[in-house]
Amino acid sequence: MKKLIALLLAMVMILGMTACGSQPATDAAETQAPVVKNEEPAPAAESELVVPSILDIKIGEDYTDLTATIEYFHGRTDREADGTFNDVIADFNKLYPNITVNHSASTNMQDDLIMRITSGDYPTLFRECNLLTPETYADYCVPMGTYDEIAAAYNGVTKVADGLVYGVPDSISIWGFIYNKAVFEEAGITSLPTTFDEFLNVLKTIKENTDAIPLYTNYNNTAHYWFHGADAAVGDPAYAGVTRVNTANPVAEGTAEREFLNLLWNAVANGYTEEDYSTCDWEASKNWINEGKIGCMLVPTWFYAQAYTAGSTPENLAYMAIPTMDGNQNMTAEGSDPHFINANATVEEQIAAMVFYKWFVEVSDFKDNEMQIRANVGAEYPEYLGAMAALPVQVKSSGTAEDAQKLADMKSETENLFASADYGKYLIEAASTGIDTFENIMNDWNQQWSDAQEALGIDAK
Amino acid sequence: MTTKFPVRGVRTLGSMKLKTQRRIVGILFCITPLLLLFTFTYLPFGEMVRYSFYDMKYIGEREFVGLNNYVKIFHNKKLWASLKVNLYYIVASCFQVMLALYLATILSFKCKFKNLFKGIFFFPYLVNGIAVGMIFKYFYTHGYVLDTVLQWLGFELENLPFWLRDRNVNNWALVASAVWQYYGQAVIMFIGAIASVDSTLYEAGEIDGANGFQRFRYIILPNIKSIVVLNLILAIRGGLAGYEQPYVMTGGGGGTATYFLTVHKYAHELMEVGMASAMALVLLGIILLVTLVQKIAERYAFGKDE
Repeated sequence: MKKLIALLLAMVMILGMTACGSQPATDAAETQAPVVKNEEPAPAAESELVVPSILDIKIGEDYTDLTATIEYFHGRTDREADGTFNDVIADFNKLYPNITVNHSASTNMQDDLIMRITSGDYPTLFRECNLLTPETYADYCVPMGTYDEIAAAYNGVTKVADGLVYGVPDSISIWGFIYNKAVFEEAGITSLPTTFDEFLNVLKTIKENTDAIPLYTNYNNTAHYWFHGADAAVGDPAYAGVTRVNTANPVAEGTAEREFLNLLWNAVANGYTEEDYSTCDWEASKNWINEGKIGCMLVPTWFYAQAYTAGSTPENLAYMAIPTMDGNQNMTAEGSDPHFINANATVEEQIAAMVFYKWFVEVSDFKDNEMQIRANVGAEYPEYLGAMAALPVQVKSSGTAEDAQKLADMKSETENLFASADYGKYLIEAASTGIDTFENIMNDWNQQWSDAQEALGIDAK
Repeated sequence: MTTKFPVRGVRTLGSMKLKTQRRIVGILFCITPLLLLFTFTYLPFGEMVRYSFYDMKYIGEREFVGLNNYVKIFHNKKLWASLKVNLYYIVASCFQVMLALYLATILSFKCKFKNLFKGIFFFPYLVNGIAVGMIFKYFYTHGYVLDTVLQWLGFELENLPFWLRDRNVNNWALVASAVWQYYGQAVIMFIGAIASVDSTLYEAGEIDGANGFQRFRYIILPNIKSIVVLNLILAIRGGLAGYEQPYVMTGGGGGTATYFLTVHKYAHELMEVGMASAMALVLLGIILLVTLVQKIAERYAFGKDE
């Protein structure tokens, strides 16, 4: 009897443990009920309100007497904690006193959103969730306008399905290397590098002449940025979104992406990066780049404000463009943090969310204080871009909804090759410890990529 | 005032017999935990089994693929490589049980500051796993705490490995932090079990001239056998399911991704719910298999008694 009980106990514990690992999945069970598209109210609806395009709203004039309560969920826990968002909402309520915005943030925003969206009870306005793909936008989100109109008004619009935009970006980020001017001066570097070779030379010079870490990889946090920065290095704004998906061997001998990754490889192999990358420290790196303990880092411009406030010499921070094969650089911009509006909310709430979001993107001083670049076409570039601002601009594009879906399928088929940090981390590790060769890794990735294209029936060149 | 209070209160509940009533009460008491168990364990488990036959994400269309997910799993080299990482945790968990048994035995005999030591051993268990991860990340950083201590002992920094970077040591480093965190719980359980051993047995042992080790081998161990076995099962199960340490400290980099971490990646990063469910079920199968092997080995080692 005792044994039986013990065995049963063990079984229950094991079951408990295994079931635990899949808990998020359980929530998907009841959510298959079709979500009503709110784009057009059903004929029987008494309300005459229709959710307008974000472009048609005149802030301060339209909907000023609208009463609604909305929930806004985002990922800026730092600004939530220091009360900035309270001020932002208070500002908004001066114009729209009857719209109540309940706001909250989570460090685990993606997982929280996955849970909430699958349960059907999710925020009225929320920041991008990678759960949503073009196939599912219409079921879960409200369109903000037609692509043609919105793309003419905002930069970096990508969340498109059937000609409709579901998530307008709240700002623009530019891909580049943030660097410390003082470190560069101390090393005796007078002109910024434009090619991969020059860049490697610069790192070498910093290593020889200063105590700073020439290039900080942030192995645990941003190893995948080298794939996302490839558009700039390749000089094709649709590279990550469209071109790579249709290329059979994206990192074949002589391709720009391969050379770009080779730059990372050489930097690590020659010891121009942090020695113990496995214990890299993202938070501390903000201070280190500020105070000259790091030479440069590959990270988009949204990082600038965070580094700016993290140390005592923010005046030394600047951005430089990503090098290219031939030295013809560009300024690659990308829409940041698109927000979505809940399709299950009432029409009033949806309108309120749209009004708030438009105000947040175009009027609120939040983006200025964060030193970010507004998404509106024609928005001014900040000074810290320096010489980079004069380069030809290319805005990252994800092509059509079909292209976006193809990319999503490729990611899923290849376990996020050219997107997940795992691949970047492996490259860094191999360069540092010699467990694999560069050629080997590149061949392997080409192979995986071509295999996936074959499996999905993608006609690749 | 002539009302006669029923003497045996329980009998006033209708005309039911005591036995029936007992049964009803018993069932009523069981319902709550059983309902909870069903809702939060068996129902999700059943759903998970169902998902494992689908190619599905959290939302959107799902496609029935039969055993396809399982076939893919057996061809997934990365997944099996990550299961090998769990071997480190299993080895460590066996070591952990032995260490805990040793410490518990010492603490069960006369020794100074007994309760203080109990507290010290148990404390890490109370610390959140994420916090432990953060602490150990700094502990292992090149040139930080551990390296400093080792330098005091005469090691040269150049000769010391990068604890979380080198594939030769990083899994052992992670495993050590897991042992540090969990051995205290086993110590407390063993102390409790040892305290329940009949003290006359020790006296008899003393009269017969048994030394410390013999007392442990022939008195303590047989008496707390079931607790040892339970702890072994728990420890090995914990070893197979380990993920906190690599999740926090290395993010699975440098060949430290355990099976669970890989499943986590499928479930959350790639959002392949069907595949992740199938993987979890395969792990369940492995755990059941290991438990069975353990049971057989235990019967072989201890013989059939009880």
